[in-house]
Amino acid sequence: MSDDAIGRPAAVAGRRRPSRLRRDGRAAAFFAAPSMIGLTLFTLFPIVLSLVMAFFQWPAVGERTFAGVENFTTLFTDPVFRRALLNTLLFVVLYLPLNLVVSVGLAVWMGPRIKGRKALRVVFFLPVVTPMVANAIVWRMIYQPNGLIDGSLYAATGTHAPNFLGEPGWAMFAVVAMSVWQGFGYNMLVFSAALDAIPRHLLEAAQIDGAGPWRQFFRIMLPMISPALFFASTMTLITSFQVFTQPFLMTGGGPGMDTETLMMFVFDKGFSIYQYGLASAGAWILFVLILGVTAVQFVGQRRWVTYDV
Amino acid sequence: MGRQMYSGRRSLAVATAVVIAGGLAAGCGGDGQESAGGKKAGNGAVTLTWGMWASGTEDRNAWQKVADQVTQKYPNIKITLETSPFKDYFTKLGTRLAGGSAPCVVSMQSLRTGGYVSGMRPLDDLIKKNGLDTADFDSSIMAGLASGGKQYALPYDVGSLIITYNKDMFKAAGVPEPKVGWSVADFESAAKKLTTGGKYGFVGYPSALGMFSMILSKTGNAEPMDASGKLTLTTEQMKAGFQWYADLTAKQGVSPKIPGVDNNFTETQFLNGNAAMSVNGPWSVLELKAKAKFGVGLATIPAGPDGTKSYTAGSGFGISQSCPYPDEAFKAVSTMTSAEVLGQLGAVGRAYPARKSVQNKWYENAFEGSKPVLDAANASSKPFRTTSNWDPVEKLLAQYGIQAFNGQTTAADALDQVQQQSPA
Repeated sequence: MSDDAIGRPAAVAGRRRPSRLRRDGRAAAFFAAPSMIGLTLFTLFPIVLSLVMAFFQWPAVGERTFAGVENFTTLFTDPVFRRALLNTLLFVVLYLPLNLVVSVGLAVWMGPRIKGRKALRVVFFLPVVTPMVANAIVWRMIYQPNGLIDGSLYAATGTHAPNFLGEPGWAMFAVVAMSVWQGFGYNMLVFSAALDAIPRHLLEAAQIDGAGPWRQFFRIMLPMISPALFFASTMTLITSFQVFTQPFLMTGGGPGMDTETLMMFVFDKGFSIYQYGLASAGAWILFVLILGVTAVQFVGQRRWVTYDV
Repeated sequence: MGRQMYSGRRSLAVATAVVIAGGLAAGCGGDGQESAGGKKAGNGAVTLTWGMWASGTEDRNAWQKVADQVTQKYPNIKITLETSPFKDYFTKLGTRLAGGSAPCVVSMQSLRTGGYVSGMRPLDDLIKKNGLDTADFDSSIMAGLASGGKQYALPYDVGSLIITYNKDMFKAAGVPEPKVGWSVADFESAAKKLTTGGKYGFVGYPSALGMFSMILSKTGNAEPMDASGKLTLTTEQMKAGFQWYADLTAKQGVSPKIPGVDNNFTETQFLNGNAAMSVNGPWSVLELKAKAKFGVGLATIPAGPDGTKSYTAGSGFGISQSCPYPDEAFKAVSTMTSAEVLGQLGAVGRAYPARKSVQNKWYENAFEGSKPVLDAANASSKPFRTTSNWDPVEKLLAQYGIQAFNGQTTAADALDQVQQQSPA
């Protein structure tokens, strides 16, 4: 009885709307279909499949067997994987701050008073749009024995520079330096735009109140561009965890295991020995790592990102 | 209304399921009849895909000619040539074999055969069925393209590793040119004399074929693999041989320091005139000769205690497991490795023919003095056998070998690492 009493009004109310609702629903489904199908086919399906693969022994050709968490235990007991993990962390720890310092620094320096700042922006952005392969070849010529650095140092002082890409202590730093050069242009543009958006009167007021350039930078500019800083650091962090092309092209992971990164490890497992299960497990570990660090960043941003103007 | 809403949701769910199932079928397919490797037209004409490595347009055109010759002989077989650079070729091939979408005709290098056999079709039954006489093929390369007693490809080229040298640099340094059978001592003294004024006598790099040929000859018996197919990089004689080869760079300084992993290192150093000698296969000799701005000479691998020794490698054509038309594919492969085609490839210097009857064609375009060198090399060489997972070994050899070559670690440590980390 009571069910009926409660149910009825809803049914009555509902009965009046169906045709419009149905039409809207159909139209919505029609418009959503292309992206839904695309999303399912090219994003959801591969993600689910790779998760499934991570729990299988999945050779390229031959029998696939369920392996449970074996792939993950194999990875964590594999010294090469652990080394690749550490190398990736080292790359991130070196690359992220350097990238941010260089890009913020240049963006601030290229203030409105600098002549030809548009041209400069283009110049600094060039490495971002140049193919990485070309960049890698040029940088190899800079780094190699008798290359630009070694050659000019020898001509000037008679001593040789280290063999940057061939010596254990140097290779990772060489890769980081090249990566910073290659990647800072994008963040610089972001910061440059954010700096231009700071209302002039804020800086002028600070100036009148006697704030020097450093104080203006730390007390006004940095807080004002903190949303851009948050965006740039998050995106850069994600991409730097996935570093692949630079070490792949310049050092091949060597010398020894010095520049072998997680992505290179995954690539080798997937496309050199065709152990797709192991490769998927490695990729998921990387994904969880990135997810975790990004989550920490999102939680932490409340303390330092301001959206007030 | 409830039912209608429900049915709407259900149709959405069904649609999603269909999409996912479709995706699954597309992703995991490969057992189906439709194959990327070949297709049959209504009139019975078969189109087969052929995967091949090629370094440029000229290379590609030469192979296209080979493909055309198949159609000339069998008008109902058409070949679609797909090329990629050598290194990428194998990355692609593995992925495509996995997806069941590999080309019908697969090009295979002897060093890598072991790693891909699971996706390839043994040819023994087809050889028997078609009555193909394989006696004309060089036996060492036939063995190189076989695995577990089964033949997986028919060879088109073969070659024993040799030394290429810069004649101009030898003349300028007043060093006599190497003769067939010259010794390790001769080699070292020549390399020392040639190392002067920022130039080097030799260029070494830790890539398997060249390095292990030199080590085998120097030690007489150090091999990277035993008869059962296991890596044996940590034997005493291998450590000693590897140390000697690394020390040409590290201690003797007759070979340039290596700036990180660079597979073209020896070729560029040699062609730039920065190094007077390098280890090479005959397959690259005529190309080197064409590119070099100096006279190129050939010499045998310097002889150690048991005389000169060398390894043989080569390549051939096989058929993928997923190929729906193996009979037609075999016709194509046997035409592509026929005496006629190999003779042509030899004459233009594209390949040192794997068929003994037409090897003389190669010399027509080669240079003076190359025949005795190659004959001596071929007589003293054996096929280079590899483990079934060779690519990672090659990569590790480069990564750790470079450290040893640059004097930052010992041969023993580098080899230990490679041996440990190599997949079983």
